[in-house]
Amino acid sequence: MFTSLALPRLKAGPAESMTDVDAALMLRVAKGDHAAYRLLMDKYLRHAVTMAYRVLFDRADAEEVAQEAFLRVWQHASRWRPDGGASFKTWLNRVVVNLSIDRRRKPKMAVLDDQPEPIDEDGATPYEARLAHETGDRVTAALAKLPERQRAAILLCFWEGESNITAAEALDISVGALESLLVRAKRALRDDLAPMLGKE
Amino acid sequence: MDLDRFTDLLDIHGAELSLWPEAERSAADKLLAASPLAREQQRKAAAFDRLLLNAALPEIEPSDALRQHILAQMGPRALAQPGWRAQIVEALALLFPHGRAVPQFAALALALCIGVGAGFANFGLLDAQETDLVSVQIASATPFLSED
Repeated sequence: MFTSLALPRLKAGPAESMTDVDAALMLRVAKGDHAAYRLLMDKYLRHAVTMAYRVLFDRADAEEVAQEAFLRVWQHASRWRPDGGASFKTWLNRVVVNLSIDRRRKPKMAVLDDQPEPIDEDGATPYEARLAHETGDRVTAALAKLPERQRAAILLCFWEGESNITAAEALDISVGALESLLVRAKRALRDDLAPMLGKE
Repeated sequence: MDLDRFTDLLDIHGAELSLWPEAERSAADKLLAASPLAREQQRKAAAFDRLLLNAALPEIEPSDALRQHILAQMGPRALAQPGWRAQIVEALALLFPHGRAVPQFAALALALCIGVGAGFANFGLLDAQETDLVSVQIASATPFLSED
C-alpha cells in the first residue's frame, strides 16, 4: 500500500556502498568465513543489543536476543540474498525484533538509571546534550510503557527508518495493522509526553 | 480527506508531507489549504516529531562476555566444496587464464590425438589371421572389385 519511508530517520542509514560491503561479508559468511563473521559482529552487535534493549528494556534479555540473532546470521547466511530487497541491517532488525517479541516479557519500568548509556551528540553544547539526555529519559520511560508490538512498530518505522511494508513484514502483520499500531503508539506517547510538549 | 484521516496519517507518516505516499499527499495539501485546524494539527505533529528526534535513546554497549559467546557458538563449518565439473573448470581456468576458447581447443586437440593414437594402436594389435579374415569378408562383400 505505502512504499515510502514512514517517518524521518533519527540517524542516516548505511550508505549504499556499506550495504554492498555487508552483502559481500554475508556471502563470505555463507562459505564459513570466520573473519567475515567477526567483522559483521563488530559492526552490528551494538546495534542489535540496543535494538533488543529498546524493545525488552532488560539488558540480560537483550544480550541473549543479540546472541541468538548472530547465531542465526551464522547458520542462515546462505539463505540471505543481497538482491532480495532487504539490506543486512533490515534483515537483522527483523530477526532481533521477532526474537524480542517472542520472549514476551513485560517491559520493566524505572530501569533508566542502571543500564542505558546516552548516544553521542555530534557537536552538541553541554546544555543541548543535557537537554537531549533529559528528553531521552522521558521518551524512553514513555516507550517502556507501550505494549511490545507498538513499541517495536514505532522503533522500526520512526527510529530505524524502515518502510511500513518492511516493518509489517518484520512483525508478520498487515500494513493496515502496522499503521494501527503506529497510530496507537504515537497517541500514547503524545499523551505521556504532553507536559514536555506544553513547554514548546 | 477529512480531518480524522489526516490526523491518523500524521501519526503514521509524520508531519513532513514530502515523506507521505503520493496518493495521500495531494488530498492532504487541499485539506491544509482549506482548514486552519488541519494546519494546527500538522504544527503540533511537527513539534512532537522534533521532540522524539531530539531524544537521546539508550544505547547499549555489548559486554565482552557476549562477544566471546557469539564467537564461541561459531563452530567450525566445512567450506562448501564445488562439484567435480566446477573443479575441472577451475583447474582449466588456472591453466588457461586467457579465455575459454583455449581450453576448448586444447580439449579438442587432445581428443583427436587420443582417437588417432588409439586407432594406430588397435591396427597394430591385429594378428595375421585376423587380417586375412577381414580381407575375405571385404572381398565377399565387394565381388565387383575382384580381379577374375
